[in-house]
Amino acid sequence: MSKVWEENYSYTAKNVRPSPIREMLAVVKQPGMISFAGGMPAPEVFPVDKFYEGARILKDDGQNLLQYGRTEGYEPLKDFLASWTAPRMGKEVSKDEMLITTGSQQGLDLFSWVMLDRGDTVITEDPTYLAALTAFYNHGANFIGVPVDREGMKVDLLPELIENARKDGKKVKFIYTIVNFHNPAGSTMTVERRKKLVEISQKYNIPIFEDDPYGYVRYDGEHLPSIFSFDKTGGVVYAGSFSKILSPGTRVGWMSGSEEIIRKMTVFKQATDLCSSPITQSLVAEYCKKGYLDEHLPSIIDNYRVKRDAMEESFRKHLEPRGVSWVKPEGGFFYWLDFPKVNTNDLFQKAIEKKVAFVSGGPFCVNEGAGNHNARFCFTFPSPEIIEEGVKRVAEAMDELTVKAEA
Amino acid sequence: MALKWENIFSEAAIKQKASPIREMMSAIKKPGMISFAGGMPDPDIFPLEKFAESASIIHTAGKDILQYGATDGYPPLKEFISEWTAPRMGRKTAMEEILITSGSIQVADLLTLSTLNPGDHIITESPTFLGTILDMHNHGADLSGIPCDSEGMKVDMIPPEIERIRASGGEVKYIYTIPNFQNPVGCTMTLERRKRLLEIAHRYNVPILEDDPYGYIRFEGEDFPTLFALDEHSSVIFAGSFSKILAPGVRVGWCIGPPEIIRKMTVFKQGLDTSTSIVAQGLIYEYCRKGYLESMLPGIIDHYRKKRDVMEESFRKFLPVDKVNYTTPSGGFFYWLNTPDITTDDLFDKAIERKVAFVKGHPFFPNEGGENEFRMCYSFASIDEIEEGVKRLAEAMNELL
Repeated sequence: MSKVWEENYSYTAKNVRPSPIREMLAVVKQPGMISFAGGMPAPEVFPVDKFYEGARILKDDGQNLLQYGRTEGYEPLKDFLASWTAPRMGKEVSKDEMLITTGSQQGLDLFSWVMLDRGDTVITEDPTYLAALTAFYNHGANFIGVPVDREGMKVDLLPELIENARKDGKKVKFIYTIVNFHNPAGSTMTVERRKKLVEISQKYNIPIFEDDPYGYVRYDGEHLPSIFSFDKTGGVVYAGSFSKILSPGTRVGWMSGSEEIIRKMTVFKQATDLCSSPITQSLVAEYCKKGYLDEHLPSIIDNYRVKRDAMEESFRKHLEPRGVSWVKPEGGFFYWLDFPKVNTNDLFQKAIEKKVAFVSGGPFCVNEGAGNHNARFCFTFPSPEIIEEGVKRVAEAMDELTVKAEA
Repeated sequence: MALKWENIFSEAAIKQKASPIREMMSAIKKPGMISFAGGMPDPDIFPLEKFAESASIIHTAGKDILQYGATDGYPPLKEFISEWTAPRMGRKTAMEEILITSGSIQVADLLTLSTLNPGDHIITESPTFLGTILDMHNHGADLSGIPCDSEGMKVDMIPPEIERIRASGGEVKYIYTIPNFQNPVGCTMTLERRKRLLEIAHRYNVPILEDDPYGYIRFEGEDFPTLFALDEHSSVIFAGSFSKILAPGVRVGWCIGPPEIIRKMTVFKQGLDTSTSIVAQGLIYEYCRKGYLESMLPGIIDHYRKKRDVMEESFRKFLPVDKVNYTTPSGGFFYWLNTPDITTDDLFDKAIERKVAFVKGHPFFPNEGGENEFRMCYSFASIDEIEEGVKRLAEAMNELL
């Protein structure tokens, strides 16, 4: 067999880790499997007909839309977003302060291009979003993980972590945070901590990447101002996404930030994918401009709130008595559970036998050995009845493990 | 105090160069400007009705295509590509050999991520596609350009180049070639050179990226077999694109190669953009499934052949024949002109004054060169504009001679 590829791999390629979630999809697709694993929207919330209505634009403006588009993004969509996001951003951002991306995932890659040399350090929550680690890792990043509690990232720990890192000669390039309904931790950063984080960022000259894919999917309580809105120095970039409020299949996200940084990211985008599809951008823009985004969002939120409540109830019934604890998320897609008595890798194996899947905590964690007693449960995809059945199966799997351990 | 970004930018960000073509867009959009600059398809031949009709898949399969999809691509589209490209690939390729990308430009980005450590070398044609040069530079690549003639890349110059690099402790990670209707030169690699290139790749254990965005736009003559089809050592990745045969606005391309490297690239793609838009892939699939790709293609080819002919005729009619050299491309979008007595920096400024634009040669060169060369794209301008634009160009030239 030819070694022509293997022998030409980069360091990164030799060590690259596939996303455990994407890899699990095969297991999850087994018949009868109940999955709390992937973070997927429920297909029943997709506004298929209203989205399809927008397709008329392909005929009406096809000559523009089928052509190469501007790297910066499709103007009508940017106009819509500037005003729609204004309450959260604290102002209407200008066109030069926004870039449309191929899903918010691309924002992570482009920002890494701008910031990271091999060996540089990124500070993230611990646990954090897996594919963010992948994106940063592709650019040779090292990580410092900051623990999360019910008020979000424990920002008070940052000064010491940063100072120690600098003493060790590490270059800390940015702080990555998922402020609302954290993936996977489920918690939301308090306003106090947001303000504190901005202060720290300014003091140490370290920018913040504020990732907010779930922010508009809130079940109770009030929306909080973004970190971006507290910053007056251009030190925060904000990433938003249509994946949870419309459809992930469109692969349309956006970034807001200072002109300087948006411009840098735009030039990297010229070389990586030229532009995000003007066709899908226009379909999204049509949907939004007709008012459907605002009109339909409450029904998405209602659908998921019912499921979150069902999961909460099932947890109380089946897992609380078994010593499991969690923080109830006010929005988003995930519960993060603490199983003090069982290793969740073992639990996962047992659970799969019983035809229920979740993601064990380890892969989300930056620090070695962390997350082995945690697991992420996504509640958006299965129906409330299925949720109850799935959680029951998890409890059974726990019992079997405990019995085995005692025997 | 404002955050000091410049203190913390990456090296790639500090050295970053914008695409000269993308940056030229505002100059080109001036009223009255005739542009031979960007390599854009003619919007007049976009199959608007048929493509819009394909949007019905949103209605019929909305729950699938609005959802997250597999990173390696929408399975029905991959099936179609496997079938449709079989004649060119020499066989029907397997699903694990195909990866759908966000435009074919993403293929080079993914392959470079998979192979390159900063400072490693990539061998490319000289001149070559600008977008790829920029991306490779971003990755810290050291590019070694090999000149082209009318038979394509001068592949016999590759072995001494590899040996020179290796002797100085460097590593060559892959060879990048656009074998058909090369951008910007317009040349096509002969069968003999293709075979020779594969021998060289095998001898030196260096893989090949075969970029073929224009391959289906052939005006006359027979297709040569692809490097992929001729290769016996699993050392070629083939990159294809819907940009020229359907529409660039879909931003969908694909690559075909050994499962091992496709797999690596797929994992990198998880970090880049999760997957290419499933909605866009669904629309294309529907369009292709109905046979429209096949039925529309001859019309597209005829359209561009006519434009190429008009450009060549206009060259003969207006340009100072003994002061300009070019070769007629048998497909694709571009003429490459050489003006030994005029620098294209001067010519460009004069041309812009006369409201005609092209792309100067220099940016297409991975190393040095191109001061007396430039690229003329005939696909975008209308037939009348082509004639008028070449006339203006001739006036600009004559002024400098």
